[in-house]
Amino acid sequence: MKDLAAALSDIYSGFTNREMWARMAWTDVRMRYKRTVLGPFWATLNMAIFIVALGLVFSHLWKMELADYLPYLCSGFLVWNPITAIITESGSVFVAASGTLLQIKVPYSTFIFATIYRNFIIFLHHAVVYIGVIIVYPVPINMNTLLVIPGLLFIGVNSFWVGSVVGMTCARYRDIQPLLTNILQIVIFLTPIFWTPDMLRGRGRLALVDMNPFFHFIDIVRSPLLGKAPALLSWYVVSGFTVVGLLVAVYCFKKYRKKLCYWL
Amino acid sequence: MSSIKINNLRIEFPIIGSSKSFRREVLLTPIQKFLKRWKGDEGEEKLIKKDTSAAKDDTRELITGGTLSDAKGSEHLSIIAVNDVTFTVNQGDRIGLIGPNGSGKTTLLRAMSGVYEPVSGSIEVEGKISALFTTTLGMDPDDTGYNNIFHMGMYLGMSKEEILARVKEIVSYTDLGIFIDLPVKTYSAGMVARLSFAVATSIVPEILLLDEGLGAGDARFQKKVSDRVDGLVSRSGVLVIASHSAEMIKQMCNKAALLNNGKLLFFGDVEEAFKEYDQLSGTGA
Repeated sequence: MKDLAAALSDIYSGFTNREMWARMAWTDVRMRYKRTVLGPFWATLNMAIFIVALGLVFSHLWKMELADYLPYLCSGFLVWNPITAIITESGSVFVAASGTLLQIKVPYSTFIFATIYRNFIIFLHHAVVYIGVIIVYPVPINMNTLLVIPGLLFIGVNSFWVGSVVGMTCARYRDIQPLLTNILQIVIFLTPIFWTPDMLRGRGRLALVDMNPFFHFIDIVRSPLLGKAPALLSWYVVSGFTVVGLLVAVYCFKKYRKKLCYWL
Repeated sequence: MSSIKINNLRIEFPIIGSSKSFRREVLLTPIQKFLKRWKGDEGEEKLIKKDTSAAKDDTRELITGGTLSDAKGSEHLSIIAVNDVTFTVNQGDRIGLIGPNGSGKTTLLRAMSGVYEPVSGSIEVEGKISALFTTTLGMDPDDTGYNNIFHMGMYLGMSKEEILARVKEIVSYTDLGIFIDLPVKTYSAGMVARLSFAVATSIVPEILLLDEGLGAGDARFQKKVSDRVDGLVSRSGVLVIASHSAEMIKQMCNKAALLNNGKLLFFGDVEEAFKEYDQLSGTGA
């Protein structure tokens, strides 16, 4: 009971410590593009070049109209980026913060919120590319577009449990992070980002689309961005992951928070 | 009213080596077990057992630096850095932690600050803890000295309003002149130290934890430093300081805690604590 209270208080005081995690996130972003002329807009430019180049090649390969393919590719990749970044960066969230964590008492969760916020900032820079794309190749903008907001909120909330669970596991077992990076490199090709779900039928579709959680997480933001409503199944899957994930995160905080400082 | 109650505190550091990472636990252990049975010997683990065979129960004392534990059923070898320590610090107390290297002074301080969680026993703290172990936390070399006052202040637990109220005084104390508006990376090491010192000592602590004294700057600055530390200490409701300087402890503290090998040997009068300490060093223990 005492441990549970301590766990919840860590999460709560970490979240309300907004000034600190917001600052950490901004400092990180600025450090990354220190003394560059474009600053964080390098992220925008990188994404723009990648999307245009890939869009030209793949639309040709799949024999799709660029007007259909480019918004699809860009929106999918836009959502994939923060998802993969948060999973890999969660692996080092506590280890990288050990300099601070072993000097002063800061809620552990502060660093998870900093990671999420940092990736949100980068997401906004990437989103500029998508706005450019839909100016050239318009997509319908309607009530479904508003579903972007709950979609992003879901991803944000899920990032928290990913950060806690992956962060603590990787602090203890340092081999997990390189393993995750490896797996995610493959997942990007196995998930419909470069290709569309209707290219697959039967068992392939079942395995790579319907049973692939990454698809559902991407689609709850991608579909609204394209003016469509995500499938009901996607909402179910994402909600399920949210509830179970948060419970696991609270459990991890309860059980391992006290040990974490000795693993750093 | 600030106080710290420490009850039977024990802090243990597991020695987590690369050999005991994922590889060993997931892959090698079953193979090793199989080989062991097959070969009929104890392999690697024998080394560790042999090393600790001199132990009474399951621990053995080291010459310095806590006690090595290889308790049955525990996952790792671990170092017991603080062992069964109990004492209470009340409002107004100035406690000096003394003892040889590796006796657990720093670990005990970190445990009080909340960085290390007790492995067993408890620490009950009333009041807000300010721990000045590193004064440069939160410093961003690319930002100006002025902005860094806010960054570092935040890590020390000050709110924006609190810092705003003190920023003028901090700036004038640093003597940095126009440098305060330049990026910190253009500063000399001494100037960085002055800035972080000025911020750190501007806090109003309820409970102040210090590891060795605070200091910064050149000879001209030294006098200002000691005055400022005195001011900080007198503002704090409770002070706990770990130091090797007998002079400093005798001057600042009203009580002392003598640690050796993670155990509390003496708690009470400063002079008596040092007598005990001298005896300890005299016998070469």
